[in-house]
Amino acid sequence: MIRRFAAVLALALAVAPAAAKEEKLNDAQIAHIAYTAGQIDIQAANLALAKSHDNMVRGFAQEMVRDHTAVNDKALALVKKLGVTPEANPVSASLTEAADKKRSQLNHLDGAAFDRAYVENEVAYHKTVNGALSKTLIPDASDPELKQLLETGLKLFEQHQEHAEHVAAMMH
Amino acid sequence: MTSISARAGFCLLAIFTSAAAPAPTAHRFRIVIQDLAFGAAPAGIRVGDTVEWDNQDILVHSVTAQDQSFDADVKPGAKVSFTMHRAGVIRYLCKYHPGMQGILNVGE
Ligand SMILES: [Cu+2]
Repeated sequence: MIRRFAAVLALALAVAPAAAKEEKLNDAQIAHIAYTAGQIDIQAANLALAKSHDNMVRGFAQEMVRDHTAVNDKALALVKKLGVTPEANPVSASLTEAADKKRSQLNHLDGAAFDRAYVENEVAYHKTVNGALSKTLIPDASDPELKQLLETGLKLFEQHQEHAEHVAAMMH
Repeated sequence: MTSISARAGFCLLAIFTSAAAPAPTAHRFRIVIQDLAFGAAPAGIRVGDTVEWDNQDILVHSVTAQDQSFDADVKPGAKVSFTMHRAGVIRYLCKYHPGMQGILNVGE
């Protein structure tokens, strides 16, 4: 399941931009994708906070909400400052679709099974977003401030991936 | 705490009485947290000195010693400080972003 989700995401993030490679992603689209990626992780974390009783998992989920909210607030302030309106696009649409599917799968799990699936998905999801940020979103971004915020986002996603891997290792 | 403020007071006095002397910052060291990284470790920290972490990042971080001698969260725009109680190498990290690591070298 998790692997399939990761594959769908990888497809969404890698293939869609590649298909439109001649017309690379513009800043309005990139901002929309990055914001969406953060919101998806916040929604997953909120589900974990509603369902999990594990302190380590809850702590991790709280961190996801806190960090991604902070970065997304910064992103909103930046697009406002730049006069850019985030533009919906096929990449963010497929991200959202895949995430909705994943969330409903997770919603059917409980207890330790939920905790494990949530954390494993967090590892896979952060890995995928890291790939998209470093291979597509950061290189395509034109505005230097947007590029810099995406680079901060990449560092953050890498740290979260590491933290998620650590939490996953503690659970096995 | 009283000894720190007494020393800080002494330092302030030193600034005011001797403008030509270099700023007496020897008792309080500052490490800036920025862009998911701890700033470089200051040299010359000694037992009894205070190290202050200044979080200029947009994220909440923690300053957590591996030997558990200190541990605190520090919000964006906030500062946290600890007095060093033992000499040696003290490794610390952010427990939320474990790739963020730092080392303090505390002298006698
Ligand atoms: Cu941190």
